[in-house]
Amino acid sequence: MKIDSIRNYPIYSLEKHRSKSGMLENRENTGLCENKKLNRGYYSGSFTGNNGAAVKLLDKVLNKVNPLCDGDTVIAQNLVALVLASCFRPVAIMALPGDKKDKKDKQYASAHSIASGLIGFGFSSIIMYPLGQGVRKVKKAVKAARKGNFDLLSEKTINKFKEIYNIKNLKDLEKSKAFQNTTKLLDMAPDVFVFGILKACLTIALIPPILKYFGWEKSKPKQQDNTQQNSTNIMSTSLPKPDITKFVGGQK
Amino acid sequence: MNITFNPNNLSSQYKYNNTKQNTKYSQPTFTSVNVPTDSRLLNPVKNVLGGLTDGIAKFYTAKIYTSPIARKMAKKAENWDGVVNGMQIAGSAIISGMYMTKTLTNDKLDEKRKKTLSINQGLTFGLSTGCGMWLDSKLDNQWEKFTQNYASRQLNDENLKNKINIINAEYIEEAEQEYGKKFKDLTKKERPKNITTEKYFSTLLDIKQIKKFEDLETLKTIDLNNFDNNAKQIVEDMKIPEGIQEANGIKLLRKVLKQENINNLEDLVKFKSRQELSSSFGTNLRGMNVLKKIMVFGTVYRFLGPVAVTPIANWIGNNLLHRNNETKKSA
Repeated sequence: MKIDSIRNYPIYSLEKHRSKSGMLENRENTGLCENKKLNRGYYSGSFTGNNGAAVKLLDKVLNKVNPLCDGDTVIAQNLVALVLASCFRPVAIMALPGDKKDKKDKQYASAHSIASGLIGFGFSSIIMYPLGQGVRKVKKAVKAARKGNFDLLSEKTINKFKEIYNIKNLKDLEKSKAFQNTTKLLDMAPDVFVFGILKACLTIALIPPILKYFGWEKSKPKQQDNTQQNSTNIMSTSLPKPDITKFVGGQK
Repeated sequence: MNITFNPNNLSSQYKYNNTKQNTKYSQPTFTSVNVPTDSRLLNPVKNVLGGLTDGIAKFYTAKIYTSPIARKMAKKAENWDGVVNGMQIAGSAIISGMYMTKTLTNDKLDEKRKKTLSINQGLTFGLSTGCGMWLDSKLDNQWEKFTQNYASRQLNDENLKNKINIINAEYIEEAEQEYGKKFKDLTKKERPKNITTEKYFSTLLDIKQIKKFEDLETLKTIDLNNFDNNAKQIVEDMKIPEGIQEANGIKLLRKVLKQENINNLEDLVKFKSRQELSSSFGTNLRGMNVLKKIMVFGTVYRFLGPVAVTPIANWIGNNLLHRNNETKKSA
């Protein structure tokens, strides 16, 4: 008999299941079964193995993140950006060697990075989530139409879906690659073409408060009081610093 | 409210070694009171949001889905593979372009510096994009293996990897026989497209939709050599899901049936009862592909680009400017 694990049975349990010969009778009685992947309520002892704690945690994360990636690509994209731009990038920038002058630039670059991560995620979550819900409701309406329910979308609109995406049965709409690609475009296009530049402007506006929050802002004379003028000209005042712009490339 | 709670049977080991009846007692049972599961406090907000998203769905999403532009695009979109990557690159191009324009139109910078900075920004975008595309294609195989492992754990199928590999090997063998060349000598067009975990799983879902066992019998009697010629007739004769009625779909369906050991009605009924085979896992697998693209381009644009590529771009930009200055001086 092969035993795939050893567990501490309470005394009464052993007494109950012990055979006359003193041996454990069969696999069923002892709680040992052929399926080793089955979790029987005790720690398998493995951390990175196929049934280990790390893999289970990874699966849990993937089960949560994957539907988000498919349904709300922009939010998932900005979530990844939030982690990278607000945590890893500032740490990497600050860890780079450099003199005192460089330190200021690094602080500014870090603040820029944190601001872009926060604005990207916050903005996308607020604006893009209702748009994502709109796509989901359309899909639901198509499902409802299969049962003859045309509450949200009229029969005429539903027939247009069939015609445009070249499907005979509404059941196959979500399988259609043309529909899948159009959905992705519909999901990502507003963020890229409409809100991209607005997000960049908001990012620059958020840099001073972040510098202040981390105590990186140098105390300045009172001429800074003219905040209104500053905020309107913020793009032009932040860009001229050549050393600063050296540190920020790619997507801000 | 009557609550029955038996603390004596709480030990998981005791529970495990006892009969189902004992397990029942160990759970508290609530009677007489209907426990509310949903709060009504947020109902007004939910109603407003529901109305808003209904409006978006009706007057924005559905309109775009059925617009003349979508009609034109749908025909081409059937063959698109890189929508997510394309949109990410477009987003970065727009923002980098905006920064370059702002730098070039900035009056407070001197002319030389403006050019260097805008070249740096452009180079950073170019290098990052190239790096992202290269990394994305290089990670394809590794990510597919990762997806296979994830799917095999979720579907409780340790052999999933082998099944997919066998099907891919069969496709390669068929292509080699068809063109009379070894796989290495096949051109890009001649090479068969690999079956991914997502495709395999969607075929499993298709099998779940098969309604008649006779369909399977018919599938098995088809002569593969005349397969394409007979495909139309086969489709007319059988009641198989509409999504897989094209020749390639049926071919893959046959292969998956073989790998899943579905040989008779009993096997099919057993297969259909597998609870893991739900369409929501299909969404998970589609999300896996998107996750890879998001992570690769996110890492390159948000981390590698600003931290590693920018100094290289700076160096290239400065060198270019330096060279230009030297040529001007010598002239």
